Amino acid sequence: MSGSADWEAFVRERLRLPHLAAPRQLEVVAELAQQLEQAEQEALARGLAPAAARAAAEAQITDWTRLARSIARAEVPVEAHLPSRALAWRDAAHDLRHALRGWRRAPGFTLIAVLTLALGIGATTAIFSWVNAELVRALPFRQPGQLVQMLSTAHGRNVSVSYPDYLDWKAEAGRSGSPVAAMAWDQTLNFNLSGAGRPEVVNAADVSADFFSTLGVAPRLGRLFSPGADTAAARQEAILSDGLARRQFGVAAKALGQTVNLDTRAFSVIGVLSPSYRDPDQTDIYIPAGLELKDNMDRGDRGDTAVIARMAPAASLGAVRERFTAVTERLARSYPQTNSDVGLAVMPLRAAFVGSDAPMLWLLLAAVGLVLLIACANVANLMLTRTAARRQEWTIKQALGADRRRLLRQVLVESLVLGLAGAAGGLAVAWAAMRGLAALLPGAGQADMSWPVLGFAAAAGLLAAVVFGLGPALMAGRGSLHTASRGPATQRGRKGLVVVEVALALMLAAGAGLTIKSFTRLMAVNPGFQPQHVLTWGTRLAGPRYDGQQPARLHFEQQVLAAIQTLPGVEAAGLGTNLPLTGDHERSDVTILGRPLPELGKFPHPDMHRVSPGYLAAIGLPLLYGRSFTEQDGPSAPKVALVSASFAAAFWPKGEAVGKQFLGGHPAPDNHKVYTVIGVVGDTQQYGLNAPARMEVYLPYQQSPPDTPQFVVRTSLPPMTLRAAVTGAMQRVDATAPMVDPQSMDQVLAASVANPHATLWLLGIFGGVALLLAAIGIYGVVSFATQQRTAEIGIRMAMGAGRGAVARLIGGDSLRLVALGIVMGIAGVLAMGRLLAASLFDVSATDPVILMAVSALLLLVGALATLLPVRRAMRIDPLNALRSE
Amino acid sequence: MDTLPKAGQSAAEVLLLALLEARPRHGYELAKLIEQRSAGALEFHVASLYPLLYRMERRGWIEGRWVEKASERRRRFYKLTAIGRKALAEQRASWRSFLKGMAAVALGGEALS
Repeated sequence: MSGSADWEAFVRERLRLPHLAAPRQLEVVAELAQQLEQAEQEALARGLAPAAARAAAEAQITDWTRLARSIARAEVPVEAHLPSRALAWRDAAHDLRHALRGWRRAPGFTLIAVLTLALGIGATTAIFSWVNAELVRALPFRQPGQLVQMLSTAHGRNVSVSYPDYLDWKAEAGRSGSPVAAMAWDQTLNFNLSGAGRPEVVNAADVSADFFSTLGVAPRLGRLFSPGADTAAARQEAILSDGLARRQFGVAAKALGQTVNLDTRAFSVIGVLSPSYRDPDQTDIYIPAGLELKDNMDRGDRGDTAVIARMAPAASLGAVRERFTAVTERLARSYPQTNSDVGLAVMPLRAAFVGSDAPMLWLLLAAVGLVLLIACANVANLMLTRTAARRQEWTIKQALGADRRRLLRQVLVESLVLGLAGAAGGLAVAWAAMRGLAALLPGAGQADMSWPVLGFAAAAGLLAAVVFGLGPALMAGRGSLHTASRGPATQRGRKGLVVVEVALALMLAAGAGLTIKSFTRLMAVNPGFQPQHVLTWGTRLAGPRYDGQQPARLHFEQQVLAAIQTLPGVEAAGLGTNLPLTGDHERSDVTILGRPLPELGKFPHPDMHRVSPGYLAAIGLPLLYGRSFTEQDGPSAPKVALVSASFAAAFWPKGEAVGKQFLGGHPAPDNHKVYTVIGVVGDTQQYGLNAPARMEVYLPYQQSPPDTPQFVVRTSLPPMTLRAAVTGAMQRVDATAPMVDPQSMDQVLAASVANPHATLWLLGIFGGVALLLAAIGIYGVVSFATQQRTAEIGIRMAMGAGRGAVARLIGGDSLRLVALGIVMGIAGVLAMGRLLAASLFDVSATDPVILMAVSALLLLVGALATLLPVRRAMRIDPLNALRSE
Repeated sequence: MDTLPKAGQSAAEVLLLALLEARPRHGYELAKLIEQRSAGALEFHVASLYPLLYRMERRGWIEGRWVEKASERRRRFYKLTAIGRKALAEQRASWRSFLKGMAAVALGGEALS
């Protein structure tokens, strides 16, 4: 027979409580020993033999380690003693562990949910990174919000500013109370750069001395221009972009102090800008405005210039506009010859940086946002299914006094974990998608994984978590067994999600369909020439040898044409200016002789081209009637011209153009530029396939040889293979002539439709993903509903319902949802049509054929997604179904 | 802390609180009472009883005290505190609604008396 001391020894031997204070250890040991002793005595009292009684008592505690652990846990200071922050962390950690364990227990569910989210977040992030790079990212200047661009206007259109006007504006900016704190000049120029690495044609700018300080930009290396740079005494100094410095000198630091030649002038490099610096003209090299003064002093001469101003801290755009409109009005009165119609336009500098693709970018962001919403709807659906299954757990927890808020939080934490996992996966998807995007559209290459992009992905994940976590969380919060998992609210929620998904998918599919149709229409537009098998490249003739030397330019061009004509594979060679589809242009007013003189400002204003006799054949531009140029249309021959079909139709609609005459410019006593029309050629799409053709005039190059000729070669070989041969041929004529931008006309065509093409691909991909997600969503809801209704179906079958009736029951329910979604989706397309319209060509945003086609497609997808659950329903064995209930 | 252990633990807590409502009791007695009152339906392992008591004591719901009576062994008696009384009232209320809900669903809507 054992005494209490024995039992205490027994317990002490087995129970290890190292974390408890010694007195407390003794207490616990004593209490447990007592328990065992009492159990033993009771067993003896029941008549058990001593050994059996002892064994019975010992059997009361089998797992001592576990008991020790339980006691240690129970003895941890309670929550009330913890500071509330520590408590919150502990709760959060617990929720997190709980969530992770839950997801580990349901790997299939978790994988599908995370993949769905990753796809949605990844696609959205990729598009956002692009939008961010183009439209959102702050300009690389100090306080860019204060910077404005100021332009002149003439006849209501923005035009460049003349230097004398700029000087008058600047004087006003310096007066007291001016809303402008600083004002700078920027004029775009082009030069042949030589003397360092490979010669190239560079985008240059002559800028005022305070140009960079107005922007708030410091050079990465070297210094900026000194104040004297605005005067005629300016030194020949240059500041290089990081890109040019690297191209020409290998490393940017090597450029400092070196000399580069711009055309014939030598400049010493005094500064290099930082790699993050960018400007809308992609300027490579800056020179002092003082050096260009002699060319800029004509108030009526407007080159390619911009005036940049920094507003005073409290000033508004309106104040700037008001103050300087007064100045332009004063100038108009003082200089009526040049300034009578000249007004002022002021806009944020950002506007100069945002290209024409802003509508497309917003459209794509909206579209990809819809994909993310569909992904969220799908995950919400999955969560609801899971919620239904975990309903019991929550109800019991709540009945046992679990805090409602705590439960709600737990569900939200589960969603957040899922959302963040989705965001992490999304970043991987985005990384891959951005590479694909850059391949699709070179302009998108600027997009990168910057902090805002990472933040966006995280925010998208969190937002998605809230969106798909909210339903289940609220249901957990409501927590009463009365609304069971199959309760009408849950089912309504799930069905609502399907309707929304179908509607969103329809909108995306419609967007993709419309874009495909638009692109087909666009590609069907005749560009007016034959772009296949054509190589083109440019050059720039500058320096004393060519400046103002027409015979020298003509000689060079004739020599090059002769040389490339003899190259193997060349079928026709010519030169022109301003190739079709590039948007490059020179225009001039003309006066049609023999017609009443139009009002000033209403003169015909065609695009002017200068071309060689071989140009038409080389580029594939058809001669409609009359004759083309020959080598006889030389400098001393009568002035002749070809006109485009729309030019001829405007003035000589009955085909009588040949022999008619027009004057280049306006009539004046000293204007003898009378051209005789010798033939009519087809229209070209100078400004892109989606832009209307303008009137065009072609003049023989011999009569005014261009200084930036564009060579065109039609070949039987793949065009780009001729590159080396033509470069060689050109440089044998003049080794200093740079080869500019060699490309095939197919590439020119592709570049002109790069935006619609990218939109097509992206919307197509988004539409496809949306359809897939919607199908998964429909499938999930219908199969869940079918499972829930197993017993009902069993009863119906037992009572004689055929399989067809069951199929109609389940399938009909599902298709009703799909039909409702289609109706809502069409309403959405009609509402959002305007956003799409800007990116469509020759297709209405509410094109009925497309809407019908995508509706049919959605219905088909819905039917396919319903098929499997319906088949399962039809196979239900009534007996089994009822028994399982 | 998983679902069911937590539910079980919570149920056990309310049972212990209820038993201590009338008068202070020691651990062995509590174990016996639970076994008897629930006609053996609920069996309480010693291995879970004591940690639970310690936890409730830490929480301030109950208070343990060693009592020595003549001719009896030293025992540790637990009594309900004011906080414990409040906790018991709350848990009772939520159990009542839980059981009512269970009845409504499981017994087809028969109200619990």
